[in-house]
Amino acid sequence: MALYELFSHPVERGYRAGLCSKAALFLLLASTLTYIPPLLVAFRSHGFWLKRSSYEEQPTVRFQHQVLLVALLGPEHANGGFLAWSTFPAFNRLQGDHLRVPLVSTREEDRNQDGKMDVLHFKLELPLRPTEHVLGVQLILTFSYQLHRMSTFVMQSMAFLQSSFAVPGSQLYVNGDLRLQQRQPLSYGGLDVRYNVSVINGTSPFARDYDLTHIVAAYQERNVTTILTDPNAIWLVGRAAELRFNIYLENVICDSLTVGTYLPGFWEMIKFAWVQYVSILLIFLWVFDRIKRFVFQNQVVTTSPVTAVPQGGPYKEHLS
Amino acid sequence: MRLPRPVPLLLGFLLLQGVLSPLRGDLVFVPPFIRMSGPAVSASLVGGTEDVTVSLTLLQDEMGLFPVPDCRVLSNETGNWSLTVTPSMNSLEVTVRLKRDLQSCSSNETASFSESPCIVQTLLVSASHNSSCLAHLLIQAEIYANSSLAHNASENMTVIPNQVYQPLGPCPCNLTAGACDVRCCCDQECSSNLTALFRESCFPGIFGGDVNPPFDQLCSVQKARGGPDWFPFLCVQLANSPFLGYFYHGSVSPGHHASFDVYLHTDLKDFSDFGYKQGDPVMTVDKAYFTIPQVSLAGQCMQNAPVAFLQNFDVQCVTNLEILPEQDRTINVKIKNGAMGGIVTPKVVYEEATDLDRFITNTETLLNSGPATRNVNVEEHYIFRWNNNTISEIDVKIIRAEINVHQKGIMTQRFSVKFLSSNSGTEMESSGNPGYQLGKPVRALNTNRIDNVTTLHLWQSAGRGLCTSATLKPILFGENALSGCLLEVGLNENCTQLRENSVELLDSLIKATHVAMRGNSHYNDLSDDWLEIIRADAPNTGADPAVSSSNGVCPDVPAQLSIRILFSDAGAVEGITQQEILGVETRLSSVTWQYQCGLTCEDNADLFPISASVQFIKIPAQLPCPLTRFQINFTEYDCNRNEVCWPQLLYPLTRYYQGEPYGQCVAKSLFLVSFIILAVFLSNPWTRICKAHS
Repeated sequence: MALYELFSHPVERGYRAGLCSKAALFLLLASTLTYIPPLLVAFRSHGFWLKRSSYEEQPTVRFQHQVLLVALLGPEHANGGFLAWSTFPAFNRLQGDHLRVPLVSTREEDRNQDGKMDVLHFKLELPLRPTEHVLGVQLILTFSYQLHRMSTFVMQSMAFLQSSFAVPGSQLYVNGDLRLQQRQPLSYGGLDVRYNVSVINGTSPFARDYDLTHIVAAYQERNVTTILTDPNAIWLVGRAAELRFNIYLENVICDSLTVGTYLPGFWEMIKFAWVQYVSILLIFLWVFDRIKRFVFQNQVVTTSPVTAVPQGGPYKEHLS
Repeated sequence: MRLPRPVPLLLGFLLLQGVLSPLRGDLVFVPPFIRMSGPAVSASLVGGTEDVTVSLTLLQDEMGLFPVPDCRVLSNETGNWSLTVTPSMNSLEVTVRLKRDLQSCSSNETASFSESPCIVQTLLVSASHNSSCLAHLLIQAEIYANSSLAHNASENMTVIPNQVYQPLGPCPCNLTAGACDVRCCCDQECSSNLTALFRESCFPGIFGGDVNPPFDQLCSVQKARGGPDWFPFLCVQLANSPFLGYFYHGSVSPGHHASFDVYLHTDLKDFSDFGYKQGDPVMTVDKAYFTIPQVSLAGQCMQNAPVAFLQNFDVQCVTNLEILPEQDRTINVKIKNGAMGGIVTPKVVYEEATDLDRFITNTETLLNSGPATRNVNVEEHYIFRWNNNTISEIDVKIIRAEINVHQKGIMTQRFSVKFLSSNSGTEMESSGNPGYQLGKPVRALNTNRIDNVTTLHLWQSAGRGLCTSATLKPILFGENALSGCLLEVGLNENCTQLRENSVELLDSLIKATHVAMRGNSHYNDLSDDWLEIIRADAPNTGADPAVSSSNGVCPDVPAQLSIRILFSDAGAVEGITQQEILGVETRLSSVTWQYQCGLTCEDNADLFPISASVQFIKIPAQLPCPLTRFQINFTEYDCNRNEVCWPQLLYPLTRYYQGEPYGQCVAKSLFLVSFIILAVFLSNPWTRICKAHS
């Protein structure tokens, strides 16, 4: 009956020497050359530490029902001809004769029933006299914008629409996206409410707080903002007398996912670095294992070889 | 490797065969029993269908027992029934049909459905071969008179009403047609007597009741109450599908969220009785804001804008003359001064405007001030003097003009407000303390008029840009600037005169002799704090009398003034570096002026541009050594220019990493290191050494 090798196990051979011998020194040198160079190789070949990463999320956006409208009139009202209105009573008090109260109706729609608003339908109807013609519009809407998956990021942001037309219009139709713009990565965890401050100071009675250049300049100082990307503002002409000027804003809040960059945390960086380190370490381990085996087997350094004693006390080995 | 045992496999195979293939040679009807409710029914005869005869018999039950079928007598027709056999692929199609008409059943029925069937009979279809029965098909016929199959199908299609106005299933609990559903209160087939019986216990639910309750797998159900852990994995999403394509746009659920706040008029904030703080609005005794027209929004003028305490402004307001308000704002206004009950009244000084053209534009004619005139304020300058948190006095200077009441046009008004401390004089305020602040005017002094600290200037031209109508603008520290204006020169201009004019104009910019080193330099310390302005290359205007009349060409006309100011960092105060001026140099450079003619030279005035520029040059505190090429290329330790610089080798533990606080990173690293140490001590050869010792 033929025999087959059914099982095998290695038998260890140890090499003894003193702690201050050449062998110990060699071993120390070999260990250093095994564990340190992979770190250097992985580091110097770029990308060892994950310094920036990105993730996707659909933000939770709510319209805050704060509106500021400036409608520019012309042509006979060339300088200073304008109408304004907002949801801030102090601003309305400043306007005097230029205040015109429109009808504003909004509707937030959740198309895929996931609890997050997807589209904002905004409609504003501004009453006009027959002699008044609207040539330009500046409109600010404010939103509350929240991201939750990495850090809990809450901010109050605005959509600023500025559009003008050479010919008096009757309707302005805007269809845009509210996009996130980051100048700085978010953090990977914790609470970030540094921009949870209202964009327009609605309680101030002073005129300089409603200066659009100041509002926009202060808003752009932030490192994380949203903008209304609006490639298609359509002006419709042909307004009959006594009708209103309508502004329709179909604001796709977030149909697509927002990609945000963030600073990875400590453990994430260590995990990716470890993977890179270990994969190069394996090669070095194998190489130096061979070198050590060669050195100790061939007595390049002087040691006394000893067969390791298996567990269970000393006994003689029977080899067939 | 062992092979699988062959014996169990074979047994399984045999069993399978036994189930699948009916014993060859055996016939069977598929299905073997039919309950008939229509006039025709069919079945299949499978098996070895060669040479097989199929026959039909009508079974009469005698005393509840059917007779044993006898295949010797064969017939294809039995009374009202006929049998047809159609061979197909591997089987025979057997069809049994009722021959007579069912109309005779519904003789005088007025009710929609008769209670008893019209025909109840039992038929037996037998398949036989050589007079021996091989297979049987038992058919139990129960045919009702008014079944739909019994009548001829009408050609009219059922009209489905328009779903927008009449939904097809308005009553969900009406399950049986033609009969009254108990407890269904919207069923129209229930008579009022029947409905009265169960009115108290109608089915609950929408549209009359008994709708499907939401089942557990619905995605929308589990959100309310706690579901299993894996929810919403494999949950069922229901959506109303459009019926017949008529209507459905999707349900949008209005969220419960904020709406437009009703913007009631807010009360004016009035804390002026306890003293003004910076930013508080200035109040009048009528508990109203003190207002001055200001510019807001996108350049529009707000007539009634309040003034904030300690907030200076200087605005130009453009309004239409027709809508300009008539009344004078400052007459009889009493302003609270910050103390309890204290009042300060503005002191107004009026001046008449000289040139109305500068203020009123966009109009064809300036009407003469006829009998009907009115006063408009062209400029209003307010100076508020404050002391601690009260206003001590208010000085107002108003420049007004008298215009015709019917004058139309656009009016430019200027309003300025300045808050000055009550013990400050009229001297120019300092430009920094001690170093210069960016954007503040450069302090300069003329030794002839020693107590008047002024500044250096550049032109700010207006209108056509002529030098005669240009105003002066101060030079601000840190801002490089370039400016100029146009000088009108005739064809036969005297060259010497031209040079003198040009030099005079350029010198009017630099009327000072010394410039302050620091922002707070006082005129008392002339030797310490003030630098003399170095004038280089002063041209010699009288050196060349030969070319005194031009012929259209004048060489060496000084036309460009360049001012260079050297400054450097001189220490820091509380972490903010302070800058001071180290030297100022002005240089005039000349050009050759030549009259620009066309084909013929007419004697029109040519425009000769003269310009002035100022440049701020920063001098480093210590001159940097020039870098060698090796130093430029060696970036091993420069993390701004090298991604893999050595200081970032242990990146999470360095200050470059800002993702987590430094202490946390150190703590986590020590945690990792402890793991490594544990692993090292638990591995060879340490364990062996431990064992050797123990």
